[in-house]
Amino acid sequence: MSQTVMRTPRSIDLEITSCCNASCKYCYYLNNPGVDYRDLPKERWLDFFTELQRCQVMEVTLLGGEPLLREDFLELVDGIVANQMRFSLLTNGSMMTSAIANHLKSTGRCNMVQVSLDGSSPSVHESLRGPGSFAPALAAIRQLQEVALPVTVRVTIHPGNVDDLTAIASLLLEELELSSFSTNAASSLGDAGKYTPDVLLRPEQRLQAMRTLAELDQAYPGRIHANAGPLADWRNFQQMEAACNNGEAIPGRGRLVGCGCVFAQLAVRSDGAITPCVMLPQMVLGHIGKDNLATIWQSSPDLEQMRKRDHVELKSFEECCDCVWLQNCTGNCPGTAYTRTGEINHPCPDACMKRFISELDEMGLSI
Amino acid sequence: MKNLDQEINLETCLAVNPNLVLRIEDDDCALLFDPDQGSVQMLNCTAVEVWQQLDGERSLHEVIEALKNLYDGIDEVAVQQILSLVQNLVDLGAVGVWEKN
Repeated sequence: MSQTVMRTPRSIDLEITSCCNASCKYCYYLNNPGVDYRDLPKERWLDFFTELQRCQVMEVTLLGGEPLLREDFLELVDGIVANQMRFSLLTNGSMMTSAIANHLKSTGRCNMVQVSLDGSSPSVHESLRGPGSFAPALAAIRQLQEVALPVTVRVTIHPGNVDDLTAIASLLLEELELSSFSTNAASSLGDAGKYTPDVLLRPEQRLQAMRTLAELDQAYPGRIHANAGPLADWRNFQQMEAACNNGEAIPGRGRLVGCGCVFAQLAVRSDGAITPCVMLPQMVLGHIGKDNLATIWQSSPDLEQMRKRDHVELKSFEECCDCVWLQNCTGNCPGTAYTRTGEINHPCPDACMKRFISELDEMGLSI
Repeated sequence: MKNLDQEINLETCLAVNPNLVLRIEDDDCALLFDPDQGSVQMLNCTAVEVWQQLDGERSLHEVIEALKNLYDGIDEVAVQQILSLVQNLVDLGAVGVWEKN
């Protein structure tokens, strides 16, 4: 049943700084009790990159905080390149310059730069991301395009932009001519947990977002991606519904198989703590410079437990046992499941379709 | 280092492209990763064994003899398969004769 565990991780998410010049209301990182807000000096990261090369790690993703706030950011990039890896960058775009874009391009190793943009206008984008953040994000996208770097956008869907999705798609895919963008939605992590009324989609808004994104998905085939949030939920729902209607079970489902990350990647917090994923900052597996990465990867009891989540059948959960999609559900993200329930071996209630449809039903709505 | 793009024969001393990363995934599979191109080729166990023997010091003939000492059953058919594999690696730019700049 379980996937094969490779000898070392293929990729690592690196939160190279805990500092940020924005204070987005839905930030999973800000005010997250699992995060220790300290930054490692450059030398510690460069030493770690040599270990990553020894482990034959292929790529890293640089995130934060806002990674470009590090004055030594380009030296870190050069360290990654010198150690035979490729990289991606997640940024709010505010600190992007032509010089940085050119440097990233010159490495020949940049897989992509993802800029956060949540609206087609300043008022929508800045409603949760803060004043003055729209123009720099747009300028960053253009600077990256000018040097022909692969650039994409992440749209975080919330109550303030759910009516703007069509305009956002038009801006990104037509006006800016991006090849694609991705969507997700705020979840109950970090600061999002404090501001739920403005941040988390209500059931009717989630339904609206699903419908709109489904239409946009038809209008722009293959150009809107989602691993989580309303579009991912919609696609998953369609798949589960089709299987149920055909009397089939989707192979491998009916168990906690909602995430395969622990079979291929790890994350490192800004303070050097190694974790399974940025969504699980509280699950510390070890520390860079102190613990051997390959040993952690192969021997950590926590990772072993997470890799055995797929042994846990959904029918063992009271809330799942009468669900029509029991054999077609994945249990979804372990990170949000842990935050919401305190247990890793638990399905995530936020993504539960049965619960969502029940909420809609109470409102006289249906999917 | 520069690839001389030399045609291989049994006397050729071949070395792996130092810009590539051989990533051992598990007991059955390895990936040959080119960080500059972002491309990945899958190698089987035999290819990994051959790869690890190509040190730039020994001729292909010596490499094959070394493999014969390590493994039973390397007959003429297997030797031809190894040569074909090496030629494929050469064609990919993964293996070659390298000179220092």
